[in-house]
Amino acid sequence: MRPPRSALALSAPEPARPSVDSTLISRAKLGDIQAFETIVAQYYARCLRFAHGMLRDSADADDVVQETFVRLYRALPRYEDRQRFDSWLFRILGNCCRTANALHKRREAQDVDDDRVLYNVAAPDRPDSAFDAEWGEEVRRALAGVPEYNREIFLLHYVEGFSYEEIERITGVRQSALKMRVKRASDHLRARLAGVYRG
Amino acid sequence: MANQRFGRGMNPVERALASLRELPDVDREAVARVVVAAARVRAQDAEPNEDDLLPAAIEPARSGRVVAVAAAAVILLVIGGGAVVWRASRPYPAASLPSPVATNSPSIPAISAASRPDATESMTIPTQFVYDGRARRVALVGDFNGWDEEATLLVREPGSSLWSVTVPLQRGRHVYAFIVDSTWTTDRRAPTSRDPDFGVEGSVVIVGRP
Amino acid sequence: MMKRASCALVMLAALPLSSLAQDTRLDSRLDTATRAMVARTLDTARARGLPVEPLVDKALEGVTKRAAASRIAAAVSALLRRLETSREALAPDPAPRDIVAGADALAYGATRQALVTMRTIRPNGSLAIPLAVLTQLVASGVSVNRATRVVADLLKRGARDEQLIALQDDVRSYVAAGASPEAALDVRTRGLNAVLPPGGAASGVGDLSSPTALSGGTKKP
Repeated sequence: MRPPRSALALSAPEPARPSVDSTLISRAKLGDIQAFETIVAQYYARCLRFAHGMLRDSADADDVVQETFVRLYRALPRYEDRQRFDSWLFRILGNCCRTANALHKRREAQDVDDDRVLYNVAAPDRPDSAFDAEWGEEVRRALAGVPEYNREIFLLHYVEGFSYEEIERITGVRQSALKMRVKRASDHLRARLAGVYRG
Repeated sequence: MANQRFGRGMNPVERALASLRELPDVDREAVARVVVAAARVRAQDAEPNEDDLLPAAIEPARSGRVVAVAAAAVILLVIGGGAVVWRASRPYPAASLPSPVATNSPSIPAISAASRPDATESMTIPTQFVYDGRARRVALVGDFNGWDEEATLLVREPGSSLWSVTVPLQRGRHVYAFIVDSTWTTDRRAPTSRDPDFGVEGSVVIVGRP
Repeated sequence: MMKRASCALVMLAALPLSSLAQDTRLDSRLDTATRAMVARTLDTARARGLPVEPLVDKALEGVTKRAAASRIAAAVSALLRRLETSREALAPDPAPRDIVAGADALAYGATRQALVTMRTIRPNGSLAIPLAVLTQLVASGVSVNRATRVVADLLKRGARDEQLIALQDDVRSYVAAGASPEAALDVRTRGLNAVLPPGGAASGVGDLSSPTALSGGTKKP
């Protein structure tokens, strides 16, 4: 089957879920640990999903998500509700993922074999799902081959459902550049995956 | 197998998205660990990473800032009650926003936020750091941000070679350096000292009363 | 799910801090062996009621400065000893920021007695700035003895923190312009003394330079 002409002709991303209840945030700002726990529980799965897609070593995902929420909690008293909470959360998460990747790259510097590193991705445990593990492995390998700065935008838009306007606020990158990055990521995935399963 | 799952006609990227969008199971223990770690850090009076704050945090007052000021007032009341304290840098009332200060002497506090004398021991003072030079990326590392090269990035003034960031610092002596495109760089406008533990020269700022 | 998470939270909170995961910043930046050594030092600090954050920062400083793991562990241990000396010298009940400032001064060669004397001169209020100025004067090249005497004298005469900071700034400027650190300090001290009320002389301060107790750091040559 011929691939679609436009790489952007993908199904519309599911919209990012509504921001968390502002009273929860207010309570967490004042030190209400239970309110913060509710926020963590509400966002943990999404953060983990994003981290799995972003990280060179998916085993770091839980640590990175933990670091993200710790940093968010430290900065929470300075948070103002003029920006969406999840945008802010994913900004910090993106920073933590990039830091973890940089550290991982440094640790691997002595004996790096890029191809081997790229393949060092694990699908998350999903014992109770009908997840196609083999396909998932292929997808993650292909995704790992997308440069980090393109991969992040692709995940934010097509997986996490942020609009380009929101992503511009999250990353500071202009919208016109964002669309190009998404296109490049899509092109890369298509090229890597086209031969795996024919439609 | 993938064809049966995803249906014919779906292009491979669409199929990949379907896979990537699936949410992982959440380990409840992981959530609990996060909360414990966060509470412990807060109790240690850890300052937030400047990079985690919104880029336009220092702006003229908007309605949201009233909430922030009220929240800070409540925090101070909670401090009086002996509850868990986070030693927050004060939100900036519109009237006392810092204007960029000359950086010949970065030890000069950049703001004169109103404070009662008995509150100054625990308050932080926004302090501006400026780097002048061509670079792709300038980060600030020091004893106030865990020496983390990712924590505090300077922002370039459009059309110039000046990079700056304002960081809340406790009173006293602080050692820092710029990481300019991965290179350790001291601040030529500031005093320096070679640390006795690792023998590396860093820059010094002494932050006093506002 | 929330109830179970809350129960897990209570259980984890009941564990001693040392049993919990270490500071997450250290987890990602130190190798296992160094992390273990540093963790033991952190546990000791907590048990003794000393500030822990400066120790974490010291370890992170060593990582950023690409120091060897053994050196990082040694630096953290040395800082613990200095924090303890500082707290004892600045008693009773010094603020954490003062303890850290005292440990800093000790690292550059200030003596325990110097800290005691500062506390005697200013029994209430923070000593963070006077100690910071002392530290930086020594780091600039002024001898420990001279810097200690000058700061103590100025404190006795009621110099404010801002005046001490300005003094240090000026000394730095003059040294940058080619003056010797001691000469620069002498000149500026005379200038500051001219505006301060007359006070007790250095004889009441005691021998601040004698290393009567552990200084905890390398003396500046």
